[in-house]
This record gives sequence, structure tokens and C-alpha cells, in this order.
Amino acid sequence: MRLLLVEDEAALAEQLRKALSDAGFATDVTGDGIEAQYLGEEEAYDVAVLDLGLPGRSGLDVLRNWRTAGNDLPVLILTARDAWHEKVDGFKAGADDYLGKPFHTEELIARLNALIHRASNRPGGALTAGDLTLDEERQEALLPSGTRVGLTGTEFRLIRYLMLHPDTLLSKSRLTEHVYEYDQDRDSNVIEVYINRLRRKIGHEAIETRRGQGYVFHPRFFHQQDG
Amino acid sequence: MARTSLQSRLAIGIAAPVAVATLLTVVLVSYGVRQLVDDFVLTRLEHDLETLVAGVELSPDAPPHQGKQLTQVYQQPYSGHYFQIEAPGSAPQRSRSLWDQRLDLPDLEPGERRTFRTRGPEGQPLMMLAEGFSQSGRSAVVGVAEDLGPLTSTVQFLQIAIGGLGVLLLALIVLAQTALIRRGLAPLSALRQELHRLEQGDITELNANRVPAEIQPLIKEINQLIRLISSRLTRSRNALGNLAHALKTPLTILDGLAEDGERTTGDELHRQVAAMRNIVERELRRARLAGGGMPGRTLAPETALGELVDVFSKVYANKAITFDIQAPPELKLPLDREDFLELAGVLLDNACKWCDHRVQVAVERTGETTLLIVDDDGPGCPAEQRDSLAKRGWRVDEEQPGSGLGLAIAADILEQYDGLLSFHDSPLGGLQVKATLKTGRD
Repeated sequence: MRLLLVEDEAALAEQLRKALSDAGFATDVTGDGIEAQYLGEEEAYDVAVLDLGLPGRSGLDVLRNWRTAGNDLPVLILTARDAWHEKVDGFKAGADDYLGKPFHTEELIARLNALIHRASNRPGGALTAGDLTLDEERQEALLPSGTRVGLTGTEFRLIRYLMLHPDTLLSKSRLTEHVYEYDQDRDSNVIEVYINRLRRKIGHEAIETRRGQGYVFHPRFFHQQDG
Repeated sequence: MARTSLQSRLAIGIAAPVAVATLLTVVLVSYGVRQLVDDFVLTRLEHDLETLVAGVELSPDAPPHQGKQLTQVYQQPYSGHYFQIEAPGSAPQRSRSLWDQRLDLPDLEPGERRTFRTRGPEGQPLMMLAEGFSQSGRSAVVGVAEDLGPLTSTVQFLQIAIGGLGVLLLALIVLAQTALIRRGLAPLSALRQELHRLEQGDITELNANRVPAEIQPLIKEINQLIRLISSRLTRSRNALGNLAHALKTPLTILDGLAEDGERTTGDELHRQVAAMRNIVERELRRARLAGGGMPGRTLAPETALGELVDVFSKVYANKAITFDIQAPPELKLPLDREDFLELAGVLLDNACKWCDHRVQVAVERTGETTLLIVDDDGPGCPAEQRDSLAKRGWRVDEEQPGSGLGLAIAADILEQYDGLLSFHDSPLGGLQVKATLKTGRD
């Protein structure tokens, strides 16, 4: 999952970036309103965390501009301004969720996960595909057999994206876009390596290769084989 | 200096029209009198002219002869009444009153007549009527004149009299009006003394009975403002005091933790930081309240609740809550929007947290009070704990970290509006929170 973190206080931004990366978000950070708006328009993010008091352009303006331009990127507003009338204004501007500072990082991550599930029309709770469950907190896959499989950061990001888009043809470049950060080296061949590692962990047939097109994730593979 | 004294503004406002009116009167009267004088003199001159012309005899070698006797005034030297008859080729015939002087007559064709002003003997201002006429083929010009001097001076006297009267009137009006204003504004200097006493702290509000009825609403507004400001002052003083006192406890604990350094656990630090955070949060929210008594504020609760429900539908999207708003769309309340959103937000947040899947919010206005009722279908709260629900958070220093902050804030808001918070069994099965606010009459 690629995440845009817009926060102008450097210390908090860095602390959050670490926590979010650990939670499996490929995180880009900016502290400037105008740059934030540009990144939100140009890059394929899955979710954004937006502070309101920004230099350059206020967070609410950035959000309004995104929405006016038809950008429906899920946005969580993270701000010290958390009176209810301010929340009302935030949601009116197009926010999907609102968290007041000070906050607990766990709560932020839980809310972000919920937001992403909601954006792909998933019910709340743990992310499942067929009988495969992803434990987003521990970054482990729970196989139908009950076995827990540990995942590396990139593997986790990749399988989460696959599980959120089941039975969909996903090109290598799309996977790269959503799994890596902005300034990371994006060699799409690396995706192949990670797909293979995932197959070894959860089962070869779960991820189908369409030559020259990309990959399709099949949740039905995980249904209990009862005839 | 652009001083806006009521006195000078009124004086100018009244004096200017009076001055203009006086001036106009003087001009009009002068013009009228002069016209009257001219008409009167001219008529007399015409009569004399006709008499003269009727009696004149023109002969080729003799000066024109005036046989008819005119009034005596034409005989007395420099009497102010003159005539002169001129015919070409001979000396003019003059009235005796002209003595050795002569009048300058214009050349006029027979039948032509002219009226004009000129100067006569001894510099007298003359009104002159001249006419050309002919008699048995001979033409002549006759002129009759009268001294305007005595009449002019009468007119001048009249003008001065009217002007003087105008000035007198003006002075009288300004004086009377000044006295009136002094008298009318006298209660204001009493008010100034009251204000001074207020500043000294001798009195807490202004006495509205000592001023005229026109100023009473102003006094009431000022008193209202004084009450509002002093309640805010009290509130912010209390808030500062609370904040300082409340922070002392966790600070002391932190101090203690720092002393036995190696045994300090992260948990304890976290607990104290959370306590401080709660204190700051609550005082911050209290500080933001506008409070009741702000005149002219109107809020449409239906719109505000609609906006809040939009927010809660998103925040609690995973619970898929059904919201039911019961508020008359035309209802307007004299509440600050931010205060209302804060109050309703806190109560709705609480309901959303505890509900199963239904939340109902209603606003009713009955007489001087307004009810905000929030229902949920959650587990509810046993009757014996409800008192502590309402009490919790009343005193910051008894606050447990992370508990009851929301309802404490709701209670703070209600305090500003002379209201109260009560808890009941909800018809939906859960808890019903009822906020009663004093909103006054329409």
C-alpha cells in the first residue's frame, strides 16, 4: 500500500514514517501543501494522511482541490484541531476519517487499514480472501490449515494489495507503483522475485501468471477442498 | 480637528437652514420692495409725463413752451422732481427745480419710451422716464425724473431690519438648542460617573433607571456585555487555575519517577503523560466555548445535526449505524454553532461508541428551555452508575486517564447555558442522554 504522509513537523513526520513503513505502508512524506497536492494528483496512492496547518497551502484546501478534480483518494485528516465543528468542516471538505492529535500510532494504523478495506468495499475486521486471512498487525498470513506464515515487509505489502484486488489482472508496473515508495528503485523484475517467494509461502496456484500482462490472485484456491 | 460633538453637529444642522432662510428672505423682500418702489415712482412719472406732453407747445424758433402748471415740487430748486423738454434746434425747456443743472436725455424717435436710472443734481439717484413725441411735424424728447434717495434709504432700513431679525433668531435658536442638549445629555454624565464607579469596582452593573427611556436599551446591552465578559473572565481564570493545579499532580509523580530512575517503568510514564494530555485537552475545549448570552446568534439544529451525522456515518462506517434525526427544520436556536456542535458531537460520539446499530437524536423547544435527546440501542448503563456518569470529570484532579472526558465536556458546555445533563433508559433499549439548555424566549 502506498501512503502519502503530509506533515510539516519534521520530527513527527519521521517518527510516523517509520511506524507506517513498519506497518507495511510504502510511505512518501512531504511537509508542503502545494507539493502534497501535486503528489496526490500524480502518484497512485492508496491512502493519504493529511495535516491541516501546512505551509504553502492549507490541508483543507489541498483536500478540496483533490476532490474538485475528482480524486477520490481515501484521506485521513491528522490534526490537533479536533473540535467537532472542525471535524465537520474536514468531512465537508471530503475527508474520509479524522484523528485528533495527540494520538496513538496503533489507532492511526488501525484506522488507515479500515479506510483501505472500506475503499475496496471490504467489511471491517481482518482482511480475508477465501479462507486466507492476513494478520495486518503481525504481518503474517494465516493459511486455511491454521499455519501462520511470517512475511517480509515487501511480501506483506504485495500480498495485501493482491488480497484487496482479488480476481483482478494486476500489471507488474501497477504492483510496483503500489508497493514501492516514490524514490525507491523500481525494477519491475523484482516483483517477479517477490511473487515467487509468496507462491512458495502460500501456494503456487494462488497467483496466476498471465504472460506479458501481469498476475491474477485467486482467492478460491484457499477454499476448503470439500469436494 | 474633526471632533464629532453632538452639540456642534446639531448647532450646524439647525443654524445652516435658518441662515439660508434669513438670507433668502432678505433677498426676496429687497427685490419685492424695490419692485414696488419702482412701480410706484414710475406710475407717478407717467402721469406727470402725460400732463407735460399734453401742455407743451413746440414752435420753430422758440424753445418748447410748457404752459400747464405742474405740481409745486417742480418749482422748488433741487426738490427731487425734475423735467426737461428738448427739441432740435433750440435750447431745452427745464423745470425750475433743476436750477442751473440739466438732465442728459437720450435721442428718441417719437413714440419711443425708455426708463432708466441716472444721477441728478447733487448726485441724487434718479429714476428717469423719457419719451419721444411729435407735434405738428416737429419732434421732441421729454424726460421726467424723480429722486429715489429717500425711498432707497427706507428700503435699506427694511433690509437691515430683516437681516438683523434673522441673526437674532439664529442666535436664539442655537442658544435654546444648546441648553436643550445640555439638559438632555445630563443623564449621560451621570452615566459616566457610573462607569467610573464600575471601573473602580464599587458597582457590578449600571443602573438603568437613572437614564431616559431612549438610552435604557443601551444600558441593558452594556450590562449584558459586562455579565458576559465577567463570566468569561471567571471561566478563563478558573481554567488557568485548574490547569496549573491539575498538572501539579502528574508533575510530582514524574518527579518521583525521575528520582528512582532505574525502577521507572515506561507504563507509569505513559499513564502520567496520558493524564496530562487529558487535562490539557479538557481545558482547551473549555477555553473554546463561547457560552450563552451572545445576542443575535441563531443556529438551525437540523442542519448542524445533519452535518454531524454525515461525520459519524464515516467515522463509524464499520458499524453501519442507522441515524434518526428528529428536529423541526424551521427551528432556530440562540446558540453558538461551535458550542452546539461540540455538545451534540460529544453526545453522539458516546452513543455511536456504545450503540448496537441505531442512534436517535432529537431537539425539542418548549418555552424557555431546549432539549437535546440522544438515544442508543446499546447495553445502557445501570441506574446506580448514572450519577457517577454525570459527576465524572466534574473535577479535573479526580479524572482517571481516558475516562469520561467527553461527558465532562458536555457538562461544561451545559454549564455555560445554565443547563444540565441527565441519563435515562432509552426506548431503543440503551442509554438516553438528555441535555437541557436554557435558550430563553423567541
